[in-house]
Amino acid sequence: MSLLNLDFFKHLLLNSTDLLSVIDETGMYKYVGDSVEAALGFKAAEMVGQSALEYIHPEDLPAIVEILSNAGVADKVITPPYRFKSKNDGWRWLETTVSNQLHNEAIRGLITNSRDITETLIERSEKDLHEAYYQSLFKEHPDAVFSLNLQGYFKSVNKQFYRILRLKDIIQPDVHFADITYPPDVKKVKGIFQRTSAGEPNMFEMRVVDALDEVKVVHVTLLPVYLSGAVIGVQGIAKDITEAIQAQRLMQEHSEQLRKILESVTEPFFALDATWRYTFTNQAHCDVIQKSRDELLGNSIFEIFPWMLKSDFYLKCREVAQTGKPVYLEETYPDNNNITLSYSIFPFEGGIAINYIDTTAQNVLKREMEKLSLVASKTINGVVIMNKNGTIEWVNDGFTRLSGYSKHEVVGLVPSMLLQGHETDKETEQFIRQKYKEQTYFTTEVLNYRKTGEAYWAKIDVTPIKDAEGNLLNYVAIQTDITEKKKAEAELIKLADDLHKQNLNLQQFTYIVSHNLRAPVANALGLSRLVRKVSPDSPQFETILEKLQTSITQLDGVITDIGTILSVRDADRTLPRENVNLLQITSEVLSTFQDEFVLMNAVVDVHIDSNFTIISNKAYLYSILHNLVSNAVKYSSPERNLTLKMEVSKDDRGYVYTVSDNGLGMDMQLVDNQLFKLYKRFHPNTHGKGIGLFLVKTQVETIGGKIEVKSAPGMGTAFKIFLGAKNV
Amino acid sequence: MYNKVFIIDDDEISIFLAENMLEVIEFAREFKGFLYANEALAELIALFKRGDYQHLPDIMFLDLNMPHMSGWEFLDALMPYEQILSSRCQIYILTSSIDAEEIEKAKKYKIVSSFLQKPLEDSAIAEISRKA
Repeated sequence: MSLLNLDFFKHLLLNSTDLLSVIDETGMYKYVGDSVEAALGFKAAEMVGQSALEYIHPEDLPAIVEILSNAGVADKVITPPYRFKSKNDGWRWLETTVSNQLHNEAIRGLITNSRDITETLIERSEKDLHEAYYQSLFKEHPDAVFSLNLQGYFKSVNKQFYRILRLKDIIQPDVHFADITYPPDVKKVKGIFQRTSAGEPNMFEMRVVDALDEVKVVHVTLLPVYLSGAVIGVQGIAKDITEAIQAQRLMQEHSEQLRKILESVTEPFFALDATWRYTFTNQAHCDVIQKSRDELLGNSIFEIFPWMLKSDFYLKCREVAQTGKPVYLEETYPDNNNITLSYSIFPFEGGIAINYIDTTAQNVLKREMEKLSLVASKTINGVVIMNKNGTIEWVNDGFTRLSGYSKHEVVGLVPSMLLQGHETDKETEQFIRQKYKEQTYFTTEVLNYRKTGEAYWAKIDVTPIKDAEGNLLNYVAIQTDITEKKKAEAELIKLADDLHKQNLNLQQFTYIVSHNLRAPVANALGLSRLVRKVSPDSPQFETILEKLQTSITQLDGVITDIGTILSVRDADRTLPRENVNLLQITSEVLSTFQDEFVLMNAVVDVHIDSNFTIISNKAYLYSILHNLVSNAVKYSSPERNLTLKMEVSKDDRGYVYTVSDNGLGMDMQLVDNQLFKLYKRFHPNTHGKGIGLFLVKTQVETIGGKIEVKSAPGMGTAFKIFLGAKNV
Repeated sequence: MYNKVFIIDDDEISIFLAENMLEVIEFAREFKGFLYANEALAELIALFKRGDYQHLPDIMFLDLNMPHMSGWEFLDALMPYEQILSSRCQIYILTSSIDAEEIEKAKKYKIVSSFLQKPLEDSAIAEISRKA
């Protein structure tokens, strides 16, 4: 010690990194080495006489107090790191060795030798932190994390690794990555592993086989692990992307399917984004506008077709984009051949989608249909559309006006069942049924009935409508009211009939002139010549004169008849009518035959209600009955007494007057159609009597009636006279 | 002189007149009048059936307008015997009718020789007599 001077110790203490101090038994600094200034900023002199404990961090104080109390017992103690006040920068971590030198007379205190370990502590703490981070990254990573040695064997794996591979047992150190790789991928993975081992990080997808032999797709990041500049192993992170891949594939499939569907739609279809740029178009749309897909996609429709900015289509697209509600639009473009397009515009996420169809033809057809419909509904004719079974589907207003039936009353009904009635001609009905059965066009005139029961004449045109294959689809029937025409026709027919009758009458007159007038004249002429050729004394002479007289009498009779007939016919329109009691007039007629009846021993049966009266011409009724009774008397049978029946019965139109006898009778086959003709005689040698029944018929018709006859040779004859306004 | 003459007419006076006119000039040996055409027809058919052609009349005067069977119907009924009659019998229509249509119609019957109007004219009778 003597070899060294005091300065040597001073410098030694000053430049030592260790801090040296002596604390007396009361805890006061007795000595502080000068190195404290460099370490903590305090001057040694400041600290001497101060309590050492005051420099210690309050949190660490209890531990230090305990150490120091122990220091009194032991020779030497080392404190754990604790914080010591520093003059400039807060607290410093110190570690102190305390040596008990209380018993050393030269020292009389505790020698403390402290070292500043702050830097060491911070360094150690940071290393711990790195370790913790790494551990967290390794263990808590949601993906599988693993490390491999350079030979490719697993060194460590985390929990997720087990989960992905569904392993139960802890992986053995001799498991190689190739053992869990899906065999087809092994070669590829080995190559990647080699490159990583050579220092190149890699990211790739591979397939693994899990413990349940299921193949999974994992995304792997493989990193080289360096130590001291050399690769010592490989670390990896693997993510199970099986589901994601599947989902992606599914999505791709869906997307592809959707694209195919939209493509296969024959209707043009396209989609626009918010700035009207094409995001999709199918081929049909390309074909319509004659642009390729590439010309459209990504470009604004309104830049391609600027004129469309003036269209309703543009306005509706904006509306859809703003309101988010679909819109339907039909627009005609007069500058483009009047083409009419019918759009459906609907919104979707990211834009609007549009499909449309060319309705030009339909529109033309629709307008045509509207016109047709207008014609069909407004025409005065009745129009009926039937289905293929012949039941009504639709009728126009004309039909309703005509028939009185409204549309809802007749739908589902068969027109002929609805409209035809009891006076409709059966043959016409049959004809109509037959034509419907044949499914051919027909037209006919038919008597139909209104809802009110009123009859009307209709001309019907029925056309079956068939498709291209000839299958029946509908019937269209057009009904025209021809009642007026029919009336006119009936009047014409009546006129023609009248004319015919007039003509017949004229013929009758010709006949009278040519035959019945000429016959007696010819006879008279002949007889007057003959009379000159025979001697006045001869028996013939007298006979000839007789015959001559007869002929002239006949001539007179015929002329009288002509007068009678003419008077009846001329009376047609001016005939006076009065109330005639049928029983009374019958009695008057019969009374004139009273003598003949008595002579013939005749039985006369009268069955006439005394209340039966008729507005008619009495003189004609009298003449008619007189003629019939006269005939009965004249043609009575010589084999039996005459029985004459005079009967009147009521029918729904008036009276039926029957005059029947049991006389000679006639063969109806021989006399039919001839009986009521002028000068037709059915019994010879009763000359000039052919006028009777002609007169009867003329008179019956004049008073608006009808006469029928039934007769049989040897049985008798019955005349039926139908009296009444409708018996024309 | 003819053997037999039929006069068919529903008018008795006409028969009487014709018969007497013809008798006066000795036109035939026998005259037979028929008020009904069907009776004349029955007699003719009976002769046809027997083949008794020599008893057929040489001349028939036929009226047209008669009840039951008209002259036309009578002619129609004789059509089957046209052949037999044509060489043996002449039929003359004798009618008061002056209807042109009937004159035309009569021409269609071959067995009808002529159409005569009543009353029989002497000249017509003389004409027929010359053919005898």
